[in-house]
Amino acid sequence: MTPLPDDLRPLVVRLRAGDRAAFEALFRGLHGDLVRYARSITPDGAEDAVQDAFLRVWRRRDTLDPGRSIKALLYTAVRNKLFNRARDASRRRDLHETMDAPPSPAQPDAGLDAALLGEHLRGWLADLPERQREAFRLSRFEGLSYAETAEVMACSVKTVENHIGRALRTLRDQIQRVAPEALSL
Amino acid sequence: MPNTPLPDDVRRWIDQQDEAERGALARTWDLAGLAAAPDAASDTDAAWARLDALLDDGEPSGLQAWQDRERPGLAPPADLAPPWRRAPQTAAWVGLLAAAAVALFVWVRPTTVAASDAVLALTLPDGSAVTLAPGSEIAYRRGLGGDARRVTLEGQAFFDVTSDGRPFVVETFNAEVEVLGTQFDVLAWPDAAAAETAVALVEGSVRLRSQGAFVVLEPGQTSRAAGGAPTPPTAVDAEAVAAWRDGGFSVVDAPLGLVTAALAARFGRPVGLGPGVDAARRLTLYLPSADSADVVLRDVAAYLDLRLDVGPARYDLVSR
Repeated sequence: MTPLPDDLRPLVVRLRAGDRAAFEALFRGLHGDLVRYARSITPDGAEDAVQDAFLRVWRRRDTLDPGRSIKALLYTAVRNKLFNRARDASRRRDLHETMDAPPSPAQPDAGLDAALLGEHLRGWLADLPERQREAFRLSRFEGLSYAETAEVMACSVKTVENHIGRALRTLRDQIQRVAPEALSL
Repeated sequence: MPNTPLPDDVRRWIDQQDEAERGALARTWDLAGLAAAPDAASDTDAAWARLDALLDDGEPSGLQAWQDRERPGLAPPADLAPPWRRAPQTAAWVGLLAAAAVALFVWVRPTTVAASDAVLALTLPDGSAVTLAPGSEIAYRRGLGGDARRVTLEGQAFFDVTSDGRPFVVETFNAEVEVLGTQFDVLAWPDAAAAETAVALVEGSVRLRSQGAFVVLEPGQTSRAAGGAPTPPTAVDAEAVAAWRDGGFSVVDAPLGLVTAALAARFGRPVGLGPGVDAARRLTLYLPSADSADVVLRDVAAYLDLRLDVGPARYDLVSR
């Protein structure tokens, strides 16, 4: 994947003007991330949703606003496309993960290795309220700013901050319970 | 173990938390990276080739600003349509898809949010008027259909509910307020140091339900739910309770920890309590106008014989 510059605005300006190379750069820079994000919502039709989002951006390039985040726009389009399938799937997945929950927590002094802690974290993330989990995921795993996350989730930046703050506190308490030493490294 | 730099947004929030917590919260952000899904095994070149082949048909659509129409929640029904448009099936299929689209449309809950620094007035689909305090959030099902009109509230709002024969229910984190046509105020910050749901009734009738018990309020009464059954109704100046709608600030017999949460949401800055300051201590306060957190907090501090520490991005009420 070709790395993208932090500031995508010049790219959007070129894209508006119909510059296909700019579109290809945007695609190559974001495709992998968006596919991973889409699969985290639901594996079903994930790649198609990403393709569709890019196609819509290209076909409506003349309406793009360089002042707004193209990244947020793409994530929003993918999210909307997968939204209803996601609800069903996440319910199934939550159930599944509850049943396959990792074995009893390690002794606090046993020292958890990274892979096991990662397993725990995935379970705790799945247990978070849906909006908290989504805000946290967009921000932590997709690298979206709070403003971009707020745009994707259609809520205020303050709400995103609250969701992520609460998620962080919950995760911290869980880590504290299972692997307190990991917090003080 | 990962060791990634904190994004600015996260750093800013962590810096506003208690100093003792900051290290563990930052470390938690870092460790959460362990839960990231592995990179998608996707073939970008092949995907680009497929997309590239689709780009040539047609000039830009020139549809009205797509970005403004793009709302989260659900793709508009048109997006559900393509499979049927591409391969026309029986009328039954079309009808089924249309019904599914309508059902989904109704099922999804859109969320309305007050801007962090302003009071927001909105009218619900049933004609009821809601005034939302800064930072508060209300959610409801599109169309408010069903046997009861249900909304969920985080924060504070004043409701002027129209009567349409169906109950109107406000759900908070720990309680339910059920009403017929009426005007009332609900205060419910779930994260407050002393969290409770407080309802004050201006006119009509409401029922506050919590933990399987309920009380019925008459105009000019208030009740609270703080984890247990609602408190017996007591008299209150409900119009004064809702002074926040006109830029004022008031609380009636509210715990300090709830007052600080309301002020933090109102002015967009954390308000902390120093060691030994009792978050459950109750106070009543009425300020017809409250333009700055400083002024309100100084009043609170004077009233409770505390000291106000003003930091660059936060306030703390500490013992003298």
